[in-house]
Amino acid sequence: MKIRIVINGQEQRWEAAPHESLLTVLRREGNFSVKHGCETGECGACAALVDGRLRPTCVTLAAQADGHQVTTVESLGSPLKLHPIQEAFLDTGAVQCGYCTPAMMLATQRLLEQNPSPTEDEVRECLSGVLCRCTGYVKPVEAVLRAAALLRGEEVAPIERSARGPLTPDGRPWDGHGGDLSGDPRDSTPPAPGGVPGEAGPGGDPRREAAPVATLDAITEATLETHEPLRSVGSAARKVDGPKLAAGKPAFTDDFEIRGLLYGKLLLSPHAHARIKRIDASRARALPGVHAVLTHEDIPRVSYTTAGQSWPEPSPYDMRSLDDKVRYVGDRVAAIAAESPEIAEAAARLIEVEYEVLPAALDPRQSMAPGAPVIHDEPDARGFAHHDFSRNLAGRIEAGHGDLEAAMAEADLVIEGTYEVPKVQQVSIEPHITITFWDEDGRMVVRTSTQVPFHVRRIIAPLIGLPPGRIRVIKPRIGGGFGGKQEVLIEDICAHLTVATGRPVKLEYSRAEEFMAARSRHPQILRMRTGVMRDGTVVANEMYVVADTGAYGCHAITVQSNTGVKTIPLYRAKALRFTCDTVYTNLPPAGAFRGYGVPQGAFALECHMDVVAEALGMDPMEFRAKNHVRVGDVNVLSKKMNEGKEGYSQVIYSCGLTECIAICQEAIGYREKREKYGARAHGGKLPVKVRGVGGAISMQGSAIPGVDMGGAVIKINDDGTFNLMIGATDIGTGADTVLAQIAAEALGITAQDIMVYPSDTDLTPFDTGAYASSTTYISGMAAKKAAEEAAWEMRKVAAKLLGHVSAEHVMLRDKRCWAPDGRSVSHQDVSLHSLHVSEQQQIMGHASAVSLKSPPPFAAEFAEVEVDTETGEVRVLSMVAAVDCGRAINPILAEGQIEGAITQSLGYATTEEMVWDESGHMITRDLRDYKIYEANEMPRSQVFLVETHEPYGPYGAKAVAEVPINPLAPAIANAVAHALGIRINQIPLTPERVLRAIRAAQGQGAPAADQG
Amino acid sequence: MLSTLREYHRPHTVGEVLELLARPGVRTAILAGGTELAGREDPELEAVVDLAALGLNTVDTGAGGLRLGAAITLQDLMEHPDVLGFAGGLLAAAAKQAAPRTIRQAATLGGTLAGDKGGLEVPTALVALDARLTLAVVDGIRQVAVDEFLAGKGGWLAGALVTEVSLPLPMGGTGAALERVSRSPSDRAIICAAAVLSVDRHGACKAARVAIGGAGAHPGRVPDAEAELVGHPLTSERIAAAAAAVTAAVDPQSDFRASAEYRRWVAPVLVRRALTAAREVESR
Repeated sequence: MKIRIVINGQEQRWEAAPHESLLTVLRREGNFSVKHGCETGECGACAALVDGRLRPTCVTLAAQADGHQVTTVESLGSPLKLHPIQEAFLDTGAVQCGYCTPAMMLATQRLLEQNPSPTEDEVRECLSGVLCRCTGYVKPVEAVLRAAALLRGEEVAPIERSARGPLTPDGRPWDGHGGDLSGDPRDSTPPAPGGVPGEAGPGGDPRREAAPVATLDAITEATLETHEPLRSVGSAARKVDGPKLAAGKPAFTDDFEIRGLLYGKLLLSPHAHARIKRIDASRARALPGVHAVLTHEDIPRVSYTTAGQSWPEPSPYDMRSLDDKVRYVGDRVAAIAAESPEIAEAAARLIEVEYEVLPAALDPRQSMAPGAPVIHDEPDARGFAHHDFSRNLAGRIEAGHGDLEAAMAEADLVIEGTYEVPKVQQVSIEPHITITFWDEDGRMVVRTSTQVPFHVRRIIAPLIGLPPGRIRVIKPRIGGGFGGKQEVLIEDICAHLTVATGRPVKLEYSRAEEFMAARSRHPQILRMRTGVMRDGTVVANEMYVVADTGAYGCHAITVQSNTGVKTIPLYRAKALRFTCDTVYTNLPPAGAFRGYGVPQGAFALECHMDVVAEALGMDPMEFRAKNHVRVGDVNVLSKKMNEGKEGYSQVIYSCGLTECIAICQEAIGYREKREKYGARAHGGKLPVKVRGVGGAISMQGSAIPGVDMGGAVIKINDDGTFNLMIGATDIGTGADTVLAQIAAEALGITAQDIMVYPSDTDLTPFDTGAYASSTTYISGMAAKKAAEEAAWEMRKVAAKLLGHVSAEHVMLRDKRCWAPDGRSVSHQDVSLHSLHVSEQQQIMGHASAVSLKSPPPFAAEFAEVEVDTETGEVRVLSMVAAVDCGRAINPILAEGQIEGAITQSLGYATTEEMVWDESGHMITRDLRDYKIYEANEMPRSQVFLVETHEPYGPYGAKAVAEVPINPLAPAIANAVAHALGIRINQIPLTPERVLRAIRAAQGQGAPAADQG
Repeated sequence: MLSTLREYHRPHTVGEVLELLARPGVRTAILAGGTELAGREDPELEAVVDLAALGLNTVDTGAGGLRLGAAITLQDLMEHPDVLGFAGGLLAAAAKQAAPRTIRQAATLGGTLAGDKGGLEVPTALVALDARLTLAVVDGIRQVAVDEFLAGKGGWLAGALVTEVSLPLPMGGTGAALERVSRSPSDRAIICAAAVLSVDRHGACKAARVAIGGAGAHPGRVPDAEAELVGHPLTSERIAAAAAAVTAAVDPQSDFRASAEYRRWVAPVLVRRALTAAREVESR
């Protein structure tokens, strides 16, 4: 049918089938700012103004819009001439991945038309219904208020941040400029031509490994004196990719048109465990418009892992692109490519499959028991680490230090506790999506929403029978990843379909498919045993974990090793032991999710530390202060276990934990509220509403030591601007901007003078990808070294042009090269000279970075809660986070990471949980049932950057993205325990779990039988 | 995906809607906001009938009470001054809590009652407000009390179109309140209760309607609780007695949000709170 729509003021007549959504038709007609995030209207990414009302276009038929006005962000402004709303979103850092930004800006436009001076509550109400998984809504709310002021014609102050610090490693104020000491303590020395001293690789200087802190201080300070204050680093620069995102330009995987595109579709298993006895796709293949149907009979059988990790991946090779056995509801059965999504769906219904249904194990305790069905009985599954497929054991991890039992025996008190954490999902608003096609050279191009483009190329190569050199992976802008896209999830099967058809194929998950057949956080049962002395000294800490990896073991060993290695060493002890059994079940596979095992371990550890403090009669924070690690301490487990094998001792060179805790305590009013609130303050009798306050701390790492590697290339243009080519993968975090700021610092320019081209396996150097908190630290080091190499070339040319000065003494600042006597020459003149005039050369730099050190960032987070003791309802009233990420390269972006992380942790603690029925079918399959927080229900939040100087990081930086997701959930649980005087060891803290615990404590006979 | 959908109709009269629904052999669904329909896996749906051109989005306030067109969106419902001013704004509050804002801009009152994704708050509030539905059928119109409708939705909806929801004017001295439990403030309710109370000059309860949603197959009244109140002064003891009557009266089911047992524990709490809040609203 023909429909008539006035789109952004222009009347258009479009062809639309009756069943097509307005979303489908708007995008087909080139309005790419309208995004697909779900199919039920819940996420709001697809929202557009229809006759001035913001409604989800995925649940609006195109035909419904016939005769109406539709407005999208394309009407607001272009990247070169942005609307004040877009300006405000960019200035405040409200644009992270940018996927939900267009809908938020339309909501803003409508609100401000009706109400030029909205209150914060009105703003939050107006943004509700547009889910954002990145920002925690703090900066979008700020953006709307700023846009309102701009549109009222008011002057607005520039956005600035003065972070606390930075501090020297021992906590003194520090100002200046320190480079990484990673390879060469003579950091200020320009690199030698033809090479940059790199970090010592495996087998590097062992003395550095155990360098005493005092020596390091000396090195740090000696280095600082030679430098000027930082200009680009530490500034709240706008995101370099911000304008196109704010303008809704076609920047994401799906915002791409190619002739002859086919639509991929997967037929998913309806059974939790079954053998495919017979599969007949002939009727499906015969359907007009179907170009290929692939079953396990049609493609070679190659075992692999979907875990996007460095080669050789430390995960079991227990998957095939298509298999003759299905191991969870949602496992792949067949793949279809057809002319339209409708035909592909119809074809899926025509595939005849005869299953031999097998008994299923849906609980790790069940699958560990004797006689359990064996999930991986195929002979070609290849294990990693200590595994036993006959017992469904994907891997056993053991890491210890000291004599645990002796230390326990010595302890005055040994306290045990068991904790349980749920299966939760990353829920990037952009689902997994891949487009594959043959290019004109017969090479396979994979345009995909991934965190690991280089791993995608290497991992799919043997599956589709092409050498990696014949594959090109392009990473466009990504609508959020959070670990879910550290998985080579659908690229293989999409490429198989292109191989089979010779045509471009697009495969995109629906939201329901995300919940059924993407990855999730490993659920765990954690048993803690802690030995302490009466004076509060921890002497022994033990953690035993049973983890459920689901049907496949992607990240099974590495996630779980983090659970122990990055948690229990947070407290000094004579002896530590971490043991973990990671077990297969017939559930959707778990995988990487921001925090990567630490949120689970931190929940158990940080709840347990409160329990131990309680038993000792100590304040939990005083107890922590007595025991937590400090500068000079060594993570004794890090040597035992790193990426599935032996690692490197990690000495702590920077640690702002003490200040983080102090700031949070002050901000939330911890001491007063510990006294004033809680069951004890009410004489043990619970009022209807009772408040509590609690906190927790955590650490992470910065990259996988000795494994993570990043490369960077930088070159100058005629006008003195630069192109930076990096393998690092910005998934909405702002990595491109941070790396540009780092390079700009070394070159005396700003991030806006650098065009960043990221993650294209043909055009950029290698990088392991966006995971393990590696980008700022590792890729940042590569960007810094490459820029320093280019800077050295510039100094040499400038020295010639200036005369009477040696290259060593030329300084780069404000886009000019300066002699000490104040004479200068512009970057443009240097570039023109070197490209066109004499001794012509391309000024450029290239570098790689790898590190044996993984400096831990630290975080403290506190929450205040109110519990309804009659219903069990928990409401988080406020949350405070303080994070030591070393030097914050861009404080606004760093804050944004923290605000988003604590919001995800808030969900982990209170609402998020994947639930399945007794046959293994996912019940929570949409964003109505799987609840992530909206703008209008957020607690108050405060975020503090506690800057330290990490001597090994680029300009003192450590990682920031992961550590803040760890402590808030246990902080909330600790606050609830303070409120009630009752400890609840399982999250999420649903009303039923909480009320059951209250009734059990009151002897009202409420056995802890769980719902679901 | 509604890939089998071949026909889209946007008729101007209710009669045309009913004719389209009555066609034999053409699987036809009513389309109001679209939030119930889209995302539904219905591989046989052939036609939809859009209500947008019927003008069923009116709000009329008269001597008989409030008459709401079935196609009014939840957002209009929560913002309309007449709805905000009616019975303490109970229905407006329910509409606000039923769904996120973007969905409220599309979802309609009728769709919320006829479908199954609309949440508990709106139907529970309507039960407490003694709402009646008008349904157009081929041979005329039918009127049905909302709780009766909810109890036999499928039967009432066969070949019928909900055109109007009418709420009788409350007696003088009426207070109303809605209470709910959920995992987070904007999450869908696990269970909710609504109460509408009328009090005479002497402080005695003239009329009471207590409704509960999420504690049975569909939202419904709790007559045993109401009986504890009518004719008595609304003391805390009376309210507690009414709440106590709830436990035996409800027959909840378990789902992933909570067990039946939990709902049974919490139902009387919410009823007590709704009654207490309604009494306070009245006395203001």
